Amino acid sequence: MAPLPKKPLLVIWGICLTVVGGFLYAIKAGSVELSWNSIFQALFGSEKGFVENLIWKLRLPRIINGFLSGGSLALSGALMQVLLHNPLADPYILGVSGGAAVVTLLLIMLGVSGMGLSFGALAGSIFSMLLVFYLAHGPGGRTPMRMLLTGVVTAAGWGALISLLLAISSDSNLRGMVYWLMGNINATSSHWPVFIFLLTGFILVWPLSRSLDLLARDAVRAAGLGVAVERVQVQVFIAASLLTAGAVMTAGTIGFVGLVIPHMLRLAGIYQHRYLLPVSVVVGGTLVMVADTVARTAIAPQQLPVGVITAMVGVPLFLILLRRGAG
Amino acid sequence: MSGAPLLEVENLTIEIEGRTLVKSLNLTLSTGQSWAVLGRNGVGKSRLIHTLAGLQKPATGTIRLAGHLIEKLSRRQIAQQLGILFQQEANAFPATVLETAMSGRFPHMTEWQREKEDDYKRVADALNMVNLQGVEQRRGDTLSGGERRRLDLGVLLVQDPDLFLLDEPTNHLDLHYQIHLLEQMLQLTKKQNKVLFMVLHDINLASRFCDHLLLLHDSGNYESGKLEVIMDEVKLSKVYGHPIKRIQSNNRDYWFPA
Repeated sequence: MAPLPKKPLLVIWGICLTVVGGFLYAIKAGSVELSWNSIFQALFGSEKGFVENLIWKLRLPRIINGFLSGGSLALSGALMQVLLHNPLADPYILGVSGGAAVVTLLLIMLGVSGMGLSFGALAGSIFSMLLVFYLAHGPGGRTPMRMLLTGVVTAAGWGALISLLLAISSDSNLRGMVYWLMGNINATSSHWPVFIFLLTGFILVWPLSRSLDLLARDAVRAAGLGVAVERVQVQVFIAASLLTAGAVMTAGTIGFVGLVIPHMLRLAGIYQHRYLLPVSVVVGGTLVMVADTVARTAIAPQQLPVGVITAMVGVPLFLILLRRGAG
Repeated sequence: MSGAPLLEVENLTIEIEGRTLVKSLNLTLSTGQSWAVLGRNGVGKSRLIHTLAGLQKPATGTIRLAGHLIEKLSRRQIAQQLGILFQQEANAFPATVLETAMSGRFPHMTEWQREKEDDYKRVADALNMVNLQGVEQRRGDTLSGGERRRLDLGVLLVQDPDLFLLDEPTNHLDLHYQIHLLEQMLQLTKKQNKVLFMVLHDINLASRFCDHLLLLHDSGNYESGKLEVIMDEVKLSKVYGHPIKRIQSNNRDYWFPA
């Protein structure tokens, strides 16, 4: 809307530097020590050797998956918060991830692995999204409150099913299931689905930035100022659900990113959605990219769940920002 | 003194949960007019404002805005001509005063259009008018209740509609701003041939700033017309269920509860 005041501009420049730094860290760190020289040659050269394989087949796909998943989650979180008019909303609040988890765990129990799990997760999230969308319709339309309650109760239902599945599954499956639930990025799953969902979701909502600014203020006021509230809400709901679905099918459930990244950026003074949405993607993506690098190197060869790292980095950072206030 | 009809209401009945609030209302708001709506709590004043703005469907009846049925118009088309000041405070995500004020330009630009010089000038003028100049970069949620009310009014001025529907515009405002802002609104209405339609709780503000009156009774019946014809002790006492007396001073009527 108005030109950005100086501080958020500084923030955006800082973010760009962080992205580049994060990427360089993510590509350098690992159990095999690589020199910068060999990394650049592998990235831009034409040779095909061990280093090239390591970079192109292992590190880069994982970096890309992490970035795309994190970006999707942060964007989805920003959208859910506006849609539900609730600062506690996150990408998983409407049960999209719960549906995905139930289907995925069932498939793990049945012995399915690899891409089958990803598409199972996708099917589960889309089923859950349609279920909530259908159930949330009542007198007075889909009000944020009814959406929220329907979604939270559906999510609780999925949660119970997840516990049931964990309880009755064999010990050999249990570890894989728990890891999936805690969020786990690997280099083997294709990054195309999450990329397509991120792009689609972004294209669906970025042009609505100005409507979202008004909606974030108050839905009735937005309608009074000319926003086609119901149409915007449906579009935002579909986009947010697709974004979550894409992230879940690629990386399981990574907590914290979708809830806190949008708030951190708002605390930094970025309120307008035309800036908030793209910056959320970039910052969320970078956080997960870096967190995943830490997850795979901290106690290598042992891997940590990436959600643990995002929370360990993000929780103190967020609390510090919150204490310092918006200045 | 009345100009062209801007909002025409025919046979409008508003019901909520089986209770009739407004019964077969016929009303024409014409340019240059300043209306006050008086009635007791729960009589349907806010409902009426929402219904006139097309935000709620009436049980029966039609509403035409500049000749067009309101349900046929998009929200954006409505917002280009009709602006609402809501009674409730917004419980919002943060935004600066400047960003909030600029939201009034929403109906006049496409999603991708950049704000132009003219938009900034309108925002500056509006913020001046509601005396919020100098706090453009402050967050809206750090303002006091009265300042927020003035900001809401500022958004409406930036929106610059032909018809102002104001739901208790003086909420949270101190005496100075009640008089000052209503004076400005009235001036604007007369000078630019707009329509002012305000729900008020203060009979004296109504008699001071309005030339037309709509009285809503608990029964769903109503009386409407020129203020000097409608406003008298008997009718007001009936509306409020409490005896109201008139006294005159300096050629002006003052009303108070007996």
